[in-house]
Amino acid sequence: MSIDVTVTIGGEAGQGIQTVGDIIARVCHKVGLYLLAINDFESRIRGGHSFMQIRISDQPVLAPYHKIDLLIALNTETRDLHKKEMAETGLVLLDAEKEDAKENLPEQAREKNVLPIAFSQMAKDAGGKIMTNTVAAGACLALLGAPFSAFEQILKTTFAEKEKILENNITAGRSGFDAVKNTDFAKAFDWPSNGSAKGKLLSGSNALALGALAADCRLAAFYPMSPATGIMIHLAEFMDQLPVLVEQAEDEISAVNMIIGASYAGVRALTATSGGGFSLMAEGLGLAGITETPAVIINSQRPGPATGLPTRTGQGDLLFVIHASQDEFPRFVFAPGSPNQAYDTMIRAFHLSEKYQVPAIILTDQYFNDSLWMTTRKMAVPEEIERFVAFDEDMTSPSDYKRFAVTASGISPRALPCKGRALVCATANEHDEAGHMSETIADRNTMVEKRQAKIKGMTGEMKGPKGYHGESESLLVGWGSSDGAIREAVDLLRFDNFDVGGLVFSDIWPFPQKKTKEALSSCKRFITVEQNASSQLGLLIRQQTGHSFHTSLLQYDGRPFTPNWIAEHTKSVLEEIR
Amino acid sequence: MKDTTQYNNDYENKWCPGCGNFGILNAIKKSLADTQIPPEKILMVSGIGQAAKTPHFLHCNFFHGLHGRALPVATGAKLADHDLTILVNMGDGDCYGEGGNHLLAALRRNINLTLLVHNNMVYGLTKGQASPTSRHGFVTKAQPQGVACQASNPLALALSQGAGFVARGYCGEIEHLSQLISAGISYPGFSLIDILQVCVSFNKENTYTFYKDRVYTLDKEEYKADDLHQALDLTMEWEEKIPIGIIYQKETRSYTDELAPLQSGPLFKQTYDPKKIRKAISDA
Repeated sequence: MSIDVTVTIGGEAGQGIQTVGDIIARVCHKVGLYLLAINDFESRIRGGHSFMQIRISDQPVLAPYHKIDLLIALNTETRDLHKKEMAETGLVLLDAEKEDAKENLPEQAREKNVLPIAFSQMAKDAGGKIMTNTVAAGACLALLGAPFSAFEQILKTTFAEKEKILENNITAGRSGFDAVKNTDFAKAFDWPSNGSAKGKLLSGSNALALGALAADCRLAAFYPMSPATGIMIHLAEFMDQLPVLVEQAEDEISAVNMIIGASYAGVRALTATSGGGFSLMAEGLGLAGITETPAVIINSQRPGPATGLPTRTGQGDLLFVIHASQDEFPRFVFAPGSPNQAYDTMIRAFHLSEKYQVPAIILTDQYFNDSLWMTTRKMAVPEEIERFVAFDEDMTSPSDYKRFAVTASGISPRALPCKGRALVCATANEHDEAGHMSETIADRNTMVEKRQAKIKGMTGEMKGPKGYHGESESLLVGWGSSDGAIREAVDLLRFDNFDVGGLVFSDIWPFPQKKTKEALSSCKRFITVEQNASSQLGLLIRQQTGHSFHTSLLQYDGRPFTPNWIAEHTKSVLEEIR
Repeated sequence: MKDTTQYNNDYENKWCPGCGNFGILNAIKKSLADTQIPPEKILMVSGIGQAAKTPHFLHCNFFHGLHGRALPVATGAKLADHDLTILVNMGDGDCYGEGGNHLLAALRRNINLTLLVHNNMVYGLTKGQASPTSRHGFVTKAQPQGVACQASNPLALALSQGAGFVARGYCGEIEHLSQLISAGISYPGFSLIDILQVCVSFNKENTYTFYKDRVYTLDKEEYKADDLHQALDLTMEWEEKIPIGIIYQKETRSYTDELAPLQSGPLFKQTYDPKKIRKAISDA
């Protein structure tokens, strides 16, 4: 890897950190570089400390980096907070216009690798303080070695419709750019000339929303909850061009019941929430289970029971979503690990939920949803959507239609209400084949067995965990969004001659038992890597396969994994064995 | 008289003999016959409780869901296919208690659903606890000292939330009730019909005699139901006299008419167009 630079932009919430970050990300993306940008923020609208960290490379970037090469500090607090993470050759650009920065200026000037620049003053000179972000972005890009033309092009698309604003921003960007042009920066690189974007630049939320569109999702009902809201906001952007309706429900209970109603009436429907909202949806999940109504539910995890850490990331809901709601009924649980996988998973989730008439849950998290990723391949749209519904013409006798007719596969022909002569009767009560309440022993047993019968077919649909150097002596085993960090940790460990590979689950329930046993059959030991406190996947593997993990690397501080953290901890574990 | 037998089914009815629900069931059948909606064109949605079992005793499509959650299910179904005629059956505990927030939202949405609340002022299915509409002082096994809360006034609540169709029926006046239901079905927005229902097992206060002495029908010629303040006054009448009929009705625009994505027809009927989706995704 010849280029691997990490830039962090930090300041108070409301200072426009994301604007600077987005500009830098878009310039890099446009010329054909790869990047991953994470968003770290507090649960507040103004003040506090937020940052965006962008890792830029000429190779696909799978995870955030643990050292900062270039820090753009929009306040002095940012410089202090990130001091420890600075790379040896790192450089801090500090806004010298800030009052507190001014006072500290003599000290800062002496401080090695801190470069005070009058971002705000330059912005004012160019036409307004609001353009401080553009100045900062200009300085950052100049240090990285970017040609001004690449920067200018992005400014032109950003401010396409406002000539005066564009002009001022170009002036602002130019002054930031020029202010640092004689500064040496160790990580400056030769920019690709005539490059073109290598993939789409998308947030995880966006990838999930696009997947829902490609799956022909027509109704999305939600109650706002971080970090899931972004998915619905992205979907809402398409309401003017596609037959999709995004409905803000009065609460999560309503949201899940709405999608069940919509699905019963014949359209594909989605809801998205986080763990707290999912808790409220648990009863509705059971309703989808007993009425065998397709429903797709995204749980974007955040840490903590109750409110927890609302803007942070975690993987603590795995066992919860597998077991949520009382009694037993089949469901799918997926945990995609990349934007392309998230997109594909949405299409599969809608397809399988409808095919088996069971709910499908997609587990993502704040890190995945709020980060900017690059897709590595094209997002294909299905030519047709297979609907698995029955109309009168598919039946020998519509008037004898039974919604819960017993079949060997457990899947009954699914008709839709008011679409023909067949009457579609569904109830949350235990019922007979026609959908009427029944408490007979025979009906209860028949319906439990019918629902459970689906598990066989569902298990067949599950993909096994994806191996990365899967033949190795030790395997790092994880799931969902830690995919990239685990793979990169494996690279670091193998570079240091450790015989380590990775195994990452994207399909979790029904548990791909046989495929997991096969994947674990040749390793000497496996170590689980999860963002929870009890190694929930590890427990599940033990329960389902009898294989036990050697130990677990668990992080539950609410921040995403870095490959370095995983590699260092793995080394300690393996060195102990030696 | 139109044929109501087409809505009969042979599923065994398990309501108590003399239950006010029978009158409501008959009124529903009569209204459906009068409005000439065939069984396969009706969708009944309900929650949990004796009232929520109503759809099982009718020959029609139905979704009998969770306690308090009938309105969200019905809303989802209506958003998916706004051609559907949907009747929602709920009890007072179901609708005004567990489902209170959903009622508020449905009123504000003005989504075209017809909500029939079987209001017997007691929890019947769970054998006699207080409901949100139980009288202050009403004694039950769970409230042996008498209910300490004020009874809720759902009709006044609905009016205060901007409801466009608010009515009260009585299970002992089947013909009148069926007319209210028909009016609710033809109303192009959310219609709330609160139905005074007798619970012969657990409510010994609000009996057939209690209502016989108090209930009076609003005169269609005299009472125009277009004055909000007058309507609010009517919802306060209870001790001496209890009015039934359309309490308030105004012209409104239905929720599904407000939503741009539904203007090309019901979501269900719109076609899947991979080209359009491909373009949307590539532009994203």
